[in-house]
Amino acid sequence: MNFRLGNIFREVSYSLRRNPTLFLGTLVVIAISLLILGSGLVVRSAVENATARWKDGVEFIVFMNPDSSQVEIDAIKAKLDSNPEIIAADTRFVDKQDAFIEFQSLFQESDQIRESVTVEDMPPSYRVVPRNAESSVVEALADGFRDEPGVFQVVAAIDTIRAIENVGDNLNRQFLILGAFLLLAAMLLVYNTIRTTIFSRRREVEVMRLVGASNWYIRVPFMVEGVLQGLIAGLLTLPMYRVVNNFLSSLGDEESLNLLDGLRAPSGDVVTIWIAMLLLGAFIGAAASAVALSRYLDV
Amino acid sequence: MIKLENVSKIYKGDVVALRNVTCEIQKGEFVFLVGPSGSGKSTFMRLLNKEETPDSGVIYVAGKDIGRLSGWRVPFLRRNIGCIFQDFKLLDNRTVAQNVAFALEVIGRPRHVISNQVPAILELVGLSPKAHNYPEELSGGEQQRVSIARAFVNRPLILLADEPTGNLDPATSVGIMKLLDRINKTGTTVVMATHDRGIVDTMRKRVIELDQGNLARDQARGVYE
Repeated sequence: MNFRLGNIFREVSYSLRRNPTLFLGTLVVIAISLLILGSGLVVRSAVENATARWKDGVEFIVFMNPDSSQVEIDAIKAKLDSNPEIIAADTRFVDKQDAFIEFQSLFQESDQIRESVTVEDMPPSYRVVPRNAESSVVEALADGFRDEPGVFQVVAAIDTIRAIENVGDNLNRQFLILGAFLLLAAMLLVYNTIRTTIFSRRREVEVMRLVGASNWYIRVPFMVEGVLQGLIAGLLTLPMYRVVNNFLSSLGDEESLNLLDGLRAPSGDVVTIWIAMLLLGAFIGAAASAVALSRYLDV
Repeated sequence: MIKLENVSKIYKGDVVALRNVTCEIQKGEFVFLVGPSGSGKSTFMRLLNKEETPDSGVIYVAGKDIGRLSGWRVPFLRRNIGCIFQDFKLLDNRTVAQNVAFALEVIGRPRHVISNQVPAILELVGLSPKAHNYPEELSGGEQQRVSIARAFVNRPLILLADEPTGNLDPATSVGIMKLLDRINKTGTTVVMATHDRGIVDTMRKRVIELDQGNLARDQARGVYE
């Protein structure tokens, strides 16, 4: 293979100058499809972040006072263990340190909130898994702990939290389906762009074949064009994911019950989703070009 | 240099392009391929650089059975075979020098080789003063000279010319034929398909005549008919 990077980019830029509208249109469709698909993942990450405490069957949480004694903490454990309505093996104790880590993760986007608390301020808690998750049973069980010594608060996973999870799941599914359809449309567009490019450059291709250019030398500029569309589209979506994330966390601010606190995908997740979409963009560009090349480029 | 053994090519719909053709062309020969339209001349040429594959028979180019050549090695075969066409096949958006350089660029020749060889070949074909002109600014004869320069710049062993004078007036055609003759004298084997009776009769080179896909005549220092 005799590649010279300069030659490849000259070929690609020439092709783009020849047909800028088609390139741009395709790029926008890829960007939109990646955005919708990626937004679905951002929503899922945000919902997981907001409801992390309520995973694995946890239906209510017994928060101890930050200054509760070990005796009080042990007494609650004994009461939990002795209750046949509670699965003691699945019930988890979260100490101050773990609570602090969880808090930092939940509010990682807000330095102000994170810096306002220390490990000592954090209430240790029991994450309780009852045998029966019916709300009336959970409420009754939770009530049994409210007046115990050392208990600060008992919070039940009320229906709203389950509703958030359901809405999140539904939204996520719809985004994924819509995104997948748009991605298919994007692939067809890339396919057609490359096909048009092959057609408009058929004389060059013919000459290249006749003078003995290798198959890859002929193919690479077309592949680069397809991949470039996917990559540029992927790059464009990063700020958009930030907008989606900001919108989600703004929902939380308006809730007086703070049920949506932490409804925000962690920055790390947003970057991971963005990189995944960038790679997906490049992949669909490469795949659609490869199919177009195999069908229309006779080398 | 070139050897065909019982080569047949039949297109869809039982259109016979070549039937059991056997012939051999030696290194440095100049061969005219004549015959009416549809007699198989172009197929003969296209088989040599593996743009087509025969339905039966064996073709050797430079001692190699090109039927056994794997796909990725075909470009290397084509680097040894220059091609010239009736319609020149020049790239309109490139200058004369760029058109010639293109043939070297795409096979990965280093820049310093390109910058040496392109002016030299333009000198050979007499187009140095027009190196920076675009094809549309040239006459038909000049365009064909660019096409010859592009085909020959890589010093191929074989030059295939498919009706190179078909679009040119007689005086210009003579100039092109003189150029091809000069190239042939450097040791390059030239195979030229033509309908131009005057040229064939004047040059008196070997003539292979095809008729409905059959080899009808193979004559040293022959004439058109």
